[in-house]
Amino acid sequence: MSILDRLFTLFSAKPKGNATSAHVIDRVLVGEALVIEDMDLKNVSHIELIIGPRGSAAERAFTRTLTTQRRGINGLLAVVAPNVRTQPATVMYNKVTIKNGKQAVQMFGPAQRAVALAVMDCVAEGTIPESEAENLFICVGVFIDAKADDDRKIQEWNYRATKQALEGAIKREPSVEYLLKNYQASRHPFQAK
Amino acid sequence: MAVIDRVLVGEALVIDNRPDGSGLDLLNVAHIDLIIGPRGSAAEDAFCRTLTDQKEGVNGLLAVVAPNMMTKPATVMFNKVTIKNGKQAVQMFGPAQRGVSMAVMDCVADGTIPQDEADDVFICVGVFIDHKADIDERIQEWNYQATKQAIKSAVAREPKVADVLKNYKASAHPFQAK
Repeated sequence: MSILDRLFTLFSAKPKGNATSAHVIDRVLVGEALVIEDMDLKNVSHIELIIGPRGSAAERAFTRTLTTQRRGINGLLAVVAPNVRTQPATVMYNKVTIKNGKQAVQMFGPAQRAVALAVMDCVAEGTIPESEAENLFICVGVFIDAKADDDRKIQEWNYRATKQALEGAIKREPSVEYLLKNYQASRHPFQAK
Repeated sequence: MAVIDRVLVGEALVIDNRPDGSGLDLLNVAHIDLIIGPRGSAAEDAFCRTLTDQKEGVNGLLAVVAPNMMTKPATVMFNKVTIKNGKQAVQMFGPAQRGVSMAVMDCVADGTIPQDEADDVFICVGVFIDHKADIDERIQEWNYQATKQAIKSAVAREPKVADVLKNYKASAHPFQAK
């Protein structure tokens, strides 16, 4: 190896500490999860979410969703408690039009607590790297049926669904390989009979 | 080189006669318009916006073949006819969702969407379901066929300008002025 080649190798090689500088959440990722028990359709939790870094479409969706309020459809910043918003910054939005106070309180009570705790547990457990948390944006779509009647279930099931959806998104699951193996045998509970 | 390296646009209509032979089944007609494009394109932005920008009666919906099995490429569906009741909502997130999702996955399985691009492509699918639609099997099957056809023509860049130029004057639109 000539001295020039050696020099070239030296300068083109990545400095050691940089090997881990690649971000886990370096692009828009999409997640989805459904949680239900005993076919309690009234309180079923279904989450769809996107997560992505600054500068991505997730950041644009976050800022727009938080500020574009409509009658019955409200973007809401996820907070574990007032004055303690989550990191990453997370906006929730409802999928079922809110028509009364009960629905509104379900959204900014049990659902908000659940989504916020799921986000923070994902940071605590390292699913979302702590070092990336302040530079990420999450948008969470929350489905609460207009007839939902069990706050405890809303909170527990939305917590589990949000956590599962975040973990799935970040692991890039379901993988294309998994889907190709399983999609034909799958059944959608509401498909045509 | 990526096959889906830019925003591509597709459209397809599927219809048949009413089961009782009384003419075209306009109640259950499927009409799909869609865009598909890679990360960093306007399709990614449109995907994120459509999924998060909910309005009363107009809902973005992530396509899943079944709960906990979202499609790859990530696909958002949106309704073209305002949803006013539970029946319409269930038609959208039941048969139509299943139809669209199966079409997307079949397009990956048959290579129309290259498997190694599926994680890096976004699809937005506009679904037309008449508020008087009454046969779930047709909603599912026709939206499946229309979505598949729309994706295939989008990826094949069809119809070609040359073909449209050759044929557009002789064409008839079913709802044009008589």
